[in-house]
Amino acid sequence: MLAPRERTLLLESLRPPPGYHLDLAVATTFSLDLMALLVAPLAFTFFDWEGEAGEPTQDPNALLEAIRRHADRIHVFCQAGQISIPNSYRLLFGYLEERVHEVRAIRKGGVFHPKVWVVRYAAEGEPPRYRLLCASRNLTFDRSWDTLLVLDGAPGREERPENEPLSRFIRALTTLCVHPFPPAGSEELEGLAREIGRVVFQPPEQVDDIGFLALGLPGGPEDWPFPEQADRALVLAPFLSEEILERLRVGPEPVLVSRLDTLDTLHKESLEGYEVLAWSEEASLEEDGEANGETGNRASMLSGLHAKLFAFDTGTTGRVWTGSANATRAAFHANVEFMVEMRGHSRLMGVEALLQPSKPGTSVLRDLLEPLPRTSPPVVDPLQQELDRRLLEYRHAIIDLALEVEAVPSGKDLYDLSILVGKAAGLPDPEGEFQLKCWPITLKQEAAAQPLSSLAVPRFRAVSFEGLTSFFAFEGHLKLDGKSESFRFVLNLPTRAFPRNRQQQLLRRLLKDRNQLLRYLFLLLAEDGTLTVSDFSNPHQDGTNTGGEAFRTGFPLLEALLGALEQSPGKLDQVHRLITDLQSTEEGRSLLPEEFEQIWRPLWAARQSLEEHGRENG
Amino acid sequence: MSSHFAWLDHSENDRRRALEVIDLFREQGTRDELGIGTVRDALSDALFPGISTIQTRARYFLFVPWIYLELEARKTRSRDIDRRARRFEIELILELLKSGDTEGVIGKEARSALQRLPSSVYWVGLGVFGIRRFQGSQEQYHRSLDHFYRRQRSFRTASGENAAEAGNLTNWHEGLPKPLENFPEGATLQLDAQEADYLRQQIMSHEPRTLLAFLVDRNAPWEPVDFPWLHPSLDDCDVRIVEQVRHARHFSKLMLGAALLYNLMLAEKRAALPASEEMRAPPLIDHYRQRLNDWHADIESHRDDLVAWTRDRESFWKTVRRINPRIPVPTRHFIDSWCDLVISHRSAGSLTGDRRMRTLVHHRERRLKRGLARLDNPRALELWNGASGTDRLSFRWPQAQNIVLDILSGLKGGER
Repeated sequence: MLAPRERTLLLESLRPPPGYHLDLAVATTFSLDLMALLVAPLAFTFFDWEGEAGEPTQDPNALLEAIRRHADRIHVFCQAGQISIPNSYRLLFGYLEERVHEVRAIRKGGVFHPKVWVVRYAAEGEPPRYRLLCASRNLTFDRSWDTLLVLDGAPGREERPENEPLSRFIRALTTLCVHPFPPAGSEELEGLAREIGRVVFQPPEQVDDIGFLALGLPGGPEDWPFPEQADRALVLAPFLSEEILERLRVGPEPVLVSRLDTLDTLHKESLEGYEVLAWSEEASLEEDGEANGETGNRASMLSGLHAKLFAFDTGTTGRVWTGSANATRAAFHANVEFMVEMRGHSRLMGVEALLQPSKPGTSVLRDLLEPLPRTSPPVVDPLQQELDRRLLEYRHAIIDLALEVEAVPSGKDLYDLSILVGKAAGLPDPEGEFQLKCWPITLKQEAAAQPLSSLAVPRFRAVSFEGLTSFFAFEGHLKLDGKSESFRFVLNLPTRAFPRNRQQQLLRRLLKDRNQLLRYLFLLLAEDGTLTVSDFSNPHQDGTNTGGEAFRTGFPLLEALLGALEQSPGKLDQVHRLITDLQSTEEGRSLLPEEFEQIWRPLWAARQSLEEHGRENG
Repeated sequence: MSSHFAWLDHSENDRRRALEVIDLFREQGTRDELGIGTVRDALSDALFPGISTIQTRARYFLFVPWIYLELEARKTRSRDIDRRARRFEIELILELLKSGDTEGVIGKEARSALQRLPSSVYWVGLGVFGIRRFQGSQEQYHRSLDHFYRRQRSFRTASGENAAEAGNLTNWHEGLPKPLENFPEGATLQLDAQEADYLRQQIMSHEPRTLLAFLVDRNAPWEPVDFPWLHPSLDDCDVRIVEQVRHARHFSKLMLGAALLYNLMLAEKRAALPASEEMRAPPLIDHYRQRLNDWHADIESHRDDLVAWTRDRESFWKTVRRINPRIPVPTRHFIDSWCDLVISHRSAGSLTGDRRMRTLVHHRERRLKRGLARLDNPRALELWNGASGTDRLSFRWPQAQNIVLDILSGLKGGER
């Protein structure tokens, strides 16, 4: 198992089963890259991303539609204070504001760490399907060696007790939120948690059965999850603590795999009894090169260990836990973590299966490892430790300020954005060792960042409509004995008095002109590939016109609409949604030519009456 | 797709493709806010052909062909070359970082995550100096390799071919110095005398009569300066080069004022927004007023030179057009009008309030960006970082200076 060449991709793994579409997705992560989240909805869409020659089609409308259609079906939970500041702002981030929920662990010193997707797919007239993804990678573009377990599921008849930890995990999410969770969303999640209780998950090929392990949820202390006895044990984790290694030392000479820099920080005694192997950067590069050979892609190479595995063989039974927990004290005593246990025959599953080749000559995990070179005594820099400790405290203190953002109109399409402080006690002293700045991520840091302290609460004046956002960037600097350290992150602040229908207005600004609107319409109608966008839009693009022409000579569009009415009327619902969004704002209306409305009104009426007719007959 | 457990791969292709599409919704405008980049680049190409603003050190002009020659010798196939070359280049980064001289190591921070590799940074320059014989893009070169090996084989097996054809069968210049033993092991950025002489010859034979060639030919190191016109021995150059430098100098001096005025107008615009931040705007306004006044004083003190130069502007445009015949008419018109306004501005007082200059700058921005002009569109104004193009143009001088000094130090066979 886990031979270096067995690879999977996140977006591939999220694709709906044939005939199904995304109904609801709950994703959890420790750190979050908003750009990576923006890409995720593409997984749920069947737009073709490549032309005939393999060139990217680069249709921005496809992305826009993917986001409009799917963003409000996705909930993302991440550790508060762990959203990275994007390099540059994209208007599309506006669609993510209500989807990102910041959470934190209940236990002191803990973080919210699970990297899970729970997805429900729907299809008309079919029972729903489910999928659980349990990964070791956060929702970022990280390229470490991480694992992904994908479990397909279908609804079963009865309650399955083994699913209880997963249901409990989903239910707990809303209670961990830093800001109140919207009630409508709570119901969705409760529904999903209930259904999951009955889902039959299909184990992967070499696995007989599976179990779930959620750590750090409300409900008190937990038992140690791993066997106290085994014939063979293996621990693989990038981060370790001595206390947990002590606990995991079962069976004769258990195998311990970690990063060289982590192993260097441990005392030699804590590694005693283990066969210690280090992740070999060189070997992994080599293997990775081979795995990527066909595509020959430069920048795709993986580097560095980030996966976490706990494996135990007893008799002919192998058990492997995979997921978010490192072999650290925090993982088992403070954090929120999620793991899946896989059980199977030790020949296929477990320590031996991980280390020995199934066929001679094939490469296995072991080929990525090398014996630990002599360990030097750990180097401890007390000042650095103190800096890190205090910075962490300041991080938490900022979250505890209970900040909100309020918009006050200050001119035509202009607003003043004020930061409101819920609990002022934690504000830093303007003269102190710690300095804090913040700014909306829609603006440039150089021009907009303002200090936040007990003396100054920022107010960002005359911000444009596009500049409105709930995502605020924070940058903190700590100086201690001449040494300094800093952090940067984004918080998703609750908003007050923001203008309504912001997403509809955003749509108008994203669709630059009528030409783009026209292409968007074709995309909606042509999704299954029977029509291609270029067939229709090209003859009308003479470079300078703004699209009005295209609508006037609108025969192909009429044809496409009529075709859709006959063959797949569902597409007209998507068009309807687009038109409704545009009509809800003055600027949106100005984008729609009158000619189009003349065609559209009767068509939409026909679509509605057909549906009613169908219902009566059905 | 059914249940499975595997390594979670990273698809750079997918990532890049998605980001490219997301980028189509990008708001940020150009760095070249007043659209004078085409003229700047033409002058840079005249002075320093083959040099680009992201190059750092001279020895990369050898590292890149050495890497590819080694991979060609190993008959690396087209489908593998991209990946293997990348690995080679990453190894090189790590080796260079081990040496004492890490100034200008490309990928110093990013290391194995480096996006734009030295081979791509130097690709065009390698062609300009005749070090790369293959005509085409780096991707075309990669694709051509399979075919290249086949031709090599058939050439070797066939008899009676003439020498000229043998010359065609190489992608890299045959006079290239031999790579270091065990390259990239122990590689440093220091050229040895033979390598330095080679680069010098290539520059002089492929781009003779340029400032770049003059500087390597003269073989006299100098204390680094900020602009090419500050170089101590320009007087010894060919008059044509002296003319080019003079054009670059006056052009950059005059156009700096347009950039400063533009930034002043943006600062004022921001300050004038309803309920705008009184605390923050005035310092910026004052800052740009001050800089404009300083600039104006500088112009006044060189008035005679500048008047003479603006009168003889046809010779300037000739120089520019020789490199790039397709400078847009509105660009030329804008530059001409600006220079005329500066020269004809007679009042001893400040020119920060000059209406005609302001109108010219405003029209220029609107013409370039239409609805997205910062002076008209509040969102675009909001994305202004407080300083757009306010450094005086230097025409790739910092990079050219570094590379030439590298070569001269190599010729001396010693440290810089």
